[in-house]
Amino acid sequence: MSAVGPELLGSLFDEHASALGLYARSWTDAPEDIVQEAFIKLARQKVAPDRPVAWLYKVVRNEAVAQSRSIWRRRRREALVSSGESLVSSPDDRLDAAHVSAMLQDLQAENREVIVARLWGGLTFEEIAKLQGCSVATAHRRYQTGLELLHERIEPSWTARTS
Amino acid sequence: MDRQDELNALERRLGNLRPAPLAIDRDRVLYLAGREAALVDSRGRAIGAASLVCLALVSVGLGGLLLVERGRRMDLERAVAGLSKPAEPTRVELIVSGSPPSPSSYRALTRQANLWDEAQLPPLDAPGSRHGGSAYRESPLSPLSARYGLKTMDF
Repeated sequence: MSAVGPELLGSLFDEHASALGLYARSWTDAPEDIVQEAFIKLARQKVAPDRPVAWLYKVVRNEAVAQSRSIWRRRRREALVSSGESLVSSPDDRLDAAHVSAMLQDLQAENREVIVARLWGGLTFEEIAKLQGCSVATAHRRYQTGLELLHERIEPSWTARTS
Repeated sequence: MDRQDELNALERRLGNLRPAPLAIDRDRVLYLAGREAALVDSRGRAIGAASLVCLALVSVGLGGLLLVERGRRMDLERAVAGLSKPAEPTRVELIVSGSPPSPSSYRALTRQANLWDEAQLPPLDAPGSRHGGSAYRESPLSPLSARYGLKTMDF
């Protein structure tokens, strides 16, 4: 029997599949296949990972990076990311989400990766540092840099609505 | 609002956004995952059973080899033992010859000494002793000869 039961797998899918897809978009134009394969790999594990979410992000990252090594895929991805349709919240926010998505894709890959993993993946900076193979301080600095860049680029009116 | 507050506000606002759902059928993913897990389980069991059978076969083979090897060694041991068989022990035959041994032979003197031990030594002045003659008469001895191989030795 698999170490990860169907209930856990289902809840993980419900909570993290979309965020994992957004995370994989940093490298690939086909996040669906990668996310699906990550969940299947998780089901294959005989011993459940300590942190299944972090484990899923690691698998998705590895696979996405491997896929992005193809030049053709890279070009196609660059064409797709310009469309900026990776974030939505509610119909009212759709426009803002599209705008944020576009800004997000304009960030450097390492900054974007930290922001996605932290904000929508809920990973700790230690886990993100392990994913990126850097120190915790570096991961934290990248997060801050990405946030500041987003803050500069996103319309002030959008952020003003948060207060 | 200072810079850090603005960043915190942006962070909260971004956190409220949800990533766009993927075009993946949830049930299909769970079905594929379950099937894969079952395959892994059955594959693991099959591999375990195959390993067990292989180990059993190897054990039987090694046991057979051991028996064959042992038989060969025993055969070899027997062959070597046959080649290096020691010569038959030399038979020593006692031959009692009809002629009496010489009175000064070792055997005659030994017998005489034994007799003296049993019946005390004769007095030095007893007739027949070396000094004054003796009544003691040695019983006639039959000579003892030993044959060692092709040689015959008299005692």
